[in-house]
Amino acid sequence: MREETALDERGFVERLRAGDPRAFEELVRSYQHRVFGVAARMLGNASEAEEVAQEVFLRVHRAVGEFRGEAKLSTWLYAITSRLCLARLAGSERRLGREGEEVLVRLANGHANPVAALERSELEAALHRAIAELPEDRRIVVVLRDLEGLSYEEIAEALELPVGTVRSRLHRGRLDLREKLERFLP
Amino acid sequence: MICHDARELFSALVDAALTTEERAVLDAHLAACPECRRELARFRGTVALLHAVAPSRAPVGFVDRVLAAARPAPWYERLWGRLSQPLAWKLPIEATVVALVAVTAVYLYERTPELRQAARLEAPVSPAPEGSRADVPGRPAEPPPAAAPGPAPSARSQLSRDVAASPPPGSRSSQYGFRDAPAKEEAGDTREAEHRAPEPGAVTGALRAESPAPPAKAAEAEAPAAAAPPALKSEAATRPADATEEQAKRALARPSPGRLAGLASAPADVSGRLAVTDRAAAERALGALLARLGATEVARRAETGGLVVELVVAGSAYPALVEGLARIGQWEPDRVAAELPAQVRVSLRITD
Repeated sequence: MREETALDERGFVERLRAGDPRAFEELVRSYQHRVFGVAARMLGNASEAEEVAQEVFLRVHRAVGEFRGEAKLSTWLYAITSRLCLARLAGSERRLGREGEEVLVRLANGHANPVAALERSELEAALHRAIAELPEDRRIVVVLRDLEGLSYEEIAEALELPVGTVRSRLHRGRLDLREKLERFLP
Repeated sequence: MICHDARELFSALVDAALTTEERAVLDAHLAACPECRRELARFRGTVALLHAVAPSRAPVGFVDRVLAAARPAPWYERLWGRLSQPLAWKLPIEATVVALVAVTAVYLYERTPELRQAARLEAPVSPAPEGSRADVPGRPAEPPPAAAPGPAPSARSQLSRDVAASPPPGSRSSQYGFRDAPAKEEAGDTREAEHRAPEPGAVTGALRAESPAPPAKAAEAEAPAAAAPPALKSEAATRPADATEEQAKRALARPSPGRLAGLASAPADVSGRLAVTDRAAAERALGALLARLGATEVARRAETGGLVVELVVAGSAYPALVEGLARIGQWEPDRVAAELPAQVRVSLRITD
């Protein structure tokens, strides 16, 4: 699970709503990797992922006055990101090609040990491919839970779904991945 | 608990999201089921692989690009946007308005008979016979002067004498140059039918023949009834073989184009209203009736509430015309001349 950057969220939100440009810059710097990561794993394309990620922050910039603070700021960001990604994917046939896999592997951190790096690279490529092949409704839940570390309740709030549906889709997605990654399992 | 139900709880177990009761039941099953224990191990391994995926990082310069996009535009860009925006809206709106006006104009023209008639009246028409006062088809005109081709009543008897003495029809057709309009077209053309003035050459020829001695020449011009327009000729050809002698006489009695021009300007001998339920069908039936009787339509115009058709029919065919009109609709004559001439001018007002 990831560690979230520590922010005095309530005061931070107030600064954002007041239009403080430095607050907006802090927001972008703090959440750029997470927002971009969700978009990249959902869309499988770095340039599209950047486009969507930029749109997420611009929408936050325009609509921060409407954010009431009832949910966490991160949940709100994930909600906008998920919505934009699913909207892009709707109606289009998308499969992560070799190029997409390589892009996602390059996006990850490098490793000092070349052999381990190669093995790790092969595993990550297989992981990225397996995630990309999931149905979109299961993919977004797996990405938010297993890659971004959101709780069931946060995912349900971001995707506007019942918790039971989140639990079911997550389980189905993980079962699909288990079959695809069989050879990598002990 | 069966294995299927137990495996449905694996995700919640891995995420520590089971209730106390669910955990107890699952633990009891796992203790007794080695296969489920192996499956759980694979499941945990999959989730562990996912959790170990290295996080993605946004591309270099991403923050700067987002901040630049979020920055408000300079005042000159905002001003240009306000100035150009009307153009972006104005041009499509103006184009749409122009297109709408054009479509509306065409629609109104097609739907308004008065407009179409006005357009036709403004277009150059065949010149009326010299001396004729009838500039507009169908309108009653002043009595034509003596030189006009309209025969004086005194010439009617001369006409009937000359009919018998007239040369064969064929020799006259070229002199008058009748128009080549088929009977069917004349009968059924409810939109285009207007006063069919004879061609200038024909009129001039007729007048040349008539000018020295109008009554005689007029009679001569009227003689070749069988040299009537090819429309009537073709109609005669298509008439059933058992055409009666009565119809043949009517064909012979048809006025010449020059005579028609004069009749067009004369006031109607008979006028009345023909009330119908289906105007289009009535016009078709009228056209067929006129063709059968050898009558000739000389004018047609639309008026408020109805259509006015002016025709010329032989006096001998007038009773059959009345009978035919009664079959088409309700014929209500409002004026009938005391003495009908050889060529009766009838003005019908067809109303719904």
